[in-house]
Amino acid sequence: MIARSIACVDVRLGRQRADHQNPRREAWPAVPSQTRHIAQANDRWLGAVTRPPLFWRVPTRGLPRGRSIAAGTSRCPPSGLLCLVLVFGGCAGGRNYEQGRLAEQRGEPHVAYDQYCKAAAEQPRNWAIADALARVRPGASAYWEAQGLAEMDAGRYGEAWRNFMKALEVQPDSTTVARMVRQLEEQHGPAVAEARAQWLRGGDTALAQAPFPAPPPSDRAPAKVPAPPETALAAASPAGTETEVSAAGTESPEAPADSPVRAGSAAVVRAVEKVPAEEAKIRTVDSGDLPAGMPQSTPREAGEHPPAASTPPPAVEPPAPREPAHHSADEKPPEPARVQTIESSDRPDEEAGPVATETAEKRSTVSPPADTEPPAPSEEVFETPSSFEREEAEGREPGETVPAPSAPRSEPPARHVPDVPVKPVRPQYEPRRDEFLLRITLSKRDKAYPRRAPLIDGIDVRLEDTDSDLEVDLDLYRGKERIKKIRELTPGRSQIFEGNSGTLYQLKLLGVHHKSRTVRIAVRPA
Amino acid sequence: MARQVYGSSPRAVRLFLTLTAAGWTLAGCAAPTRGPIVIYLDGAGWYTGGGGVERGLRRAGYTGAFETFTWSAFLGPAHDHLVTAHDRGLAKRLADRIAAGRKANPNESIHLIGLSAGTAVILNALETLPRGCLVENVVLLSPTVSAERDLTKAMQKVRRNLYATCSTRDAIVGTLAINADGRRGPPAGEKGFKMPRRARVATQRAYARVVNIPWKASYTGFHWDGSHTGVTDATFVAAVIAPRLLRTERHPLDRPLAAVLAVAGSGEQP
Repeated sequence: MIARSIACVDVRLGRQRADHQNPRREAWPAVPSQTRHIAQANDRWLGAVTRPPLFWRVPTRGLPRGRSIAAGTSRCPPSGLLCLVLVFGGCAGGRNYEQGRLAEQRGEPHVAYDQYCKAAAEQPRNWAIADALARVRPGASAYWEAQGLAEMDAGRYGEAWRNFMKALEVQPDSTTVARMVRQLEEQHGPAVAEARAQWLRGGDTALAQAPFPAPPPSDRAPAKVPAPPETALAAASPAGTETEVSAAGTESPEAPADSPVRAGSAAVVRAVEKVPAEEAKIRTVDSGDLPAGMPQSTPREAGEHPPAASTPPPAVEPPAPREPAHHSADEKPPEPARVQTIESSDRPDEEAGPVATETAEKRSTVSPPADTEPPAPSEEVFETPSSFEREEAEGREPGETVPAPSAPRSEPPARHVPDVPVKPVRPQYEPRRDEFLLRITLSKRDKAYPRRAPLIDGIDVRLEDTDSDLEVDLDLYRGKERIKKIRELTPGRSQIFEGNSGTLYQLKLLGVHHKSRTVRIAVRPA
Repeated sequence: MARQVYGSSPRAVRLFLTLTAAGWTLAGCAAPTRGPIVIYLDGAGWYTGGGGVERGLRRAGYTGAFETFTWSAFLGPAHDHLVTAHDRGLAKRLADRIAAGRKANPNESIHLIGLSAGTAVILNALETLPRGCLVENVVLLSPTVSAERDLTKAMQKVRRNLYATCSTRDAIVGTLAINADGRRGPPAGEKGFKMPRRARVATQRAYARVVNIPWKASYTGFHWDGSHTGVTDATFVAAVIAPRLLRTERHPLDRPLAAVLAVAGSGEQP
């Protein structure tokens, strides 16, 4: 349209010349007369609209006949101004939209949602933004719901309330999340009272927030802090004198190492040696030694959302017993939490630490020389369907590891492992005994397992698909009616659903075997 | 003979059948229906907003009756806004209709939803409802009544909550010179209702059930871009309004005015 209006103004200046230059006008004899009349009328109208006022007109007597305004020589065209306004006006909302789109591509729907919200605040009538918001909404809501469940498991009910409320704010018609919020308020009123009061005072700003995405690497000034003390798994870099601190967790395999960190994995504070981007190494940092200003147990103050940051995932200690249910937000474990550098976010429970560490150890010890190609995100560390059966036959829980008899895991000596890039690996969830009411294995390819199976309380579950990122799509059915879509569920993550009796249950993904499209899920009361 | 009778006046037979069908239809509309009822009032000179609201409610699982109360004088939006909206006779007519619905269904819920100047008719009708005749919820979409209007008396006829959507991006509300209820003050559709200062206990109790729903950027995803009539979009109604009406429990995202002020500890609006 802009080009068309420019052409029309062009016509007014040097009509005869422009008529010859405008290919559409040259093509007119070929089009039907009715179309031609409409186009002529449009051009007349546009010409009237875009006609500049008199004081803009500059004498063009000296100019060659038909000199085009598009060349910008004789007048200040309104259409050009319109172009500028459109271009610069679109930049403000477009930047946030672009960041949201990138976050969406990274698989961070919650970050994308917040970015799209910022874009929508600037351009509320932009339907592309509205569509993007609608697109990422289920994923964002599911993320905050999972975070809330993880916080609830850890006994931090205030944080759980904030996360559930955020999930509800994203998806206001979610009945299960609304019930979880009410249940939290009824059962743990004092623990959530402060969070609720803050919300009443400040509105949505008091709810859980996705971390602000980091600026591009060129703009980013890394916070330089002293190197943390070497601990168990620290892989000392020869040149590692400076440490870049960032909110962290799992990075997507596609994302470069220096890209903005995944917010979903904001479960830990990460200290990454300042090495080339593709050489992120495993490091365990004692949070008690973290420098001032680094978020330790209340990451929200730093604008981040690492909900499991204070979850005690003892990297080199035996699994701690589960915290009692009455553990309030203020009763934090006395000793400083060890912060695991990889993957704790995907294992929001306390059991996450040892397995992640074990995986890291395994990968470190068998790792190839540093100059070789890094291993692909391995599927061999994950269970296979047969391993599910084997564990059940041996009387072990799925994912339960046989403890090494002689290896005291309390304080292993600091080992220097080769500088090998380690790609993030999603560990499987390791449940405790008697934690769940039921466990089911579903498979899309393995005929030994059903694809759809009755779950509990009149609800059926159907496996839709798995993907190489070990993300699982499930659907829940009540009879023939699909009541919930669960998308991109990762091992250790949970979703809530409501049974026929109105009871709320928590569905947890225990493990995935992508090659055979087989998953292991479990259910417990929410 | 029969052929002569029926064949002689097919036009009359057709007319008779048409009139009968129309009579049944009109009588059916007027008769009180069983089950929950939503009574919807359009805005001034705006006669098509009910479709989106009804679709949104149905999408969210509402199965009861949806009735549109036509209150326009059909003399244009200005006349509706300035004259018709605060006509007491009109309010009495709506109150009678609510009372008839309540009498027919003593245990069913009645919800009132109004858009723009229709909200003035709703509030006037609530104030004229007979004692003991309650409605379940009231939803005021982009209300053009005064934000300083005292809702204490109206809230005595509301069993649960009154919701009022508001948006600072509402171009119509932002340019209003006179409110639809003829009272002074900024329209509630801009920044929501305000609780009167030095409120009595009854007023505080009433405003503990008044909830403003201000526009947020995230509502763009539900197709409400902050505009005056965009709030009637079916997607927004299904996702934001319907869960508040169709559930008996309090919606966790409700921030009642009185509770907000009590926590804030001051008389200022948040």
